Amino acid sequence: MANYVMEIGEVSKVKLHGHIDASIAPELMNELKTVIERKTEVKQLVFYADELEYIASAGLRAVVFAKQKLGANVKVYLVGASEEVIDVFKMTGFDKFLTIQDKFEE
Amino acid sequence: MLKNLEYPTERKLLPQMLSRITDEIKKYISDEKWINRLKVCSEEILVNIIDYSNSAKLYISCEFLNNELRFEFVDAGTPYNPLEEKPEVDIDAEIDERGIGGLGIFLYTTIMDKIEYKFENGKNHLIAIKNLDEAVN
Repeated sequence: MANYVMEIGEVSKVKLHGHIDASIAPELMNELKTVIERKTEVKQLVFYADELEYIASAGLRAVVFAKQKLGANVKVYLVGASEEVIDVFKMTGFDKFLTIQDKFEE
Repeated sequence: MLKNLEYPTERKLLPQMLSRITDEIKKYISDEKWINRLKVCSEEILVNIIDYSNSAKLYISCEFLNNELRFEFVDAGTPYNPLEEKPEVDIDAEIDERGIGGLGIFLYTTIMDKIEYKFENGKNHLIAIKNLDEAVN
């Protein structure tokens, strides 16, 4: 059963949670590949991050990899992330590839 | 102070290593953003050692002196100075032009005030220093 991907469809949903360090990130990456495999269906990808405590470059790569593979027409959201998590996205310049907001309404 | 904490170079032990380091950082820093940033730096350095050093073990030290936090990461692997081969990371590039390499070293060299490398007695030493001025606390 998927640990992160909650739903794949027009609005695909991924719940990021806990500590996503380099020991965990490959699992996230593998799950995101299941979303990418169905990319023709996907119009929006939402990363819910309200329970994400920590992420470093390995986790960021997985998120950006998904954005790269889904293409320019798929809008990717980062929702409910803490200031610390957003800070790491900003330092790497990855924040500009995502729409960062507090809440997501379909 | 952490003095030569020894761990096998295994990714699955990262959470344990980071937890010990974070406990130490919290003794000196209260700002959540900076606690997180220093944890990220530690992870990036550790992952490079774990993945590329070919060393069976690594050693972590952390001490607070003259309002500086000084981290030292030691391994007995292949001599490797990450500062010499620092790849270019263009954070303003478009998404399709963003490579995945070099992000870790970019983060820790950006966040820390000083990074020093030395190869001594058959061991790599990477020293990362952060001055804890008012911006940090």
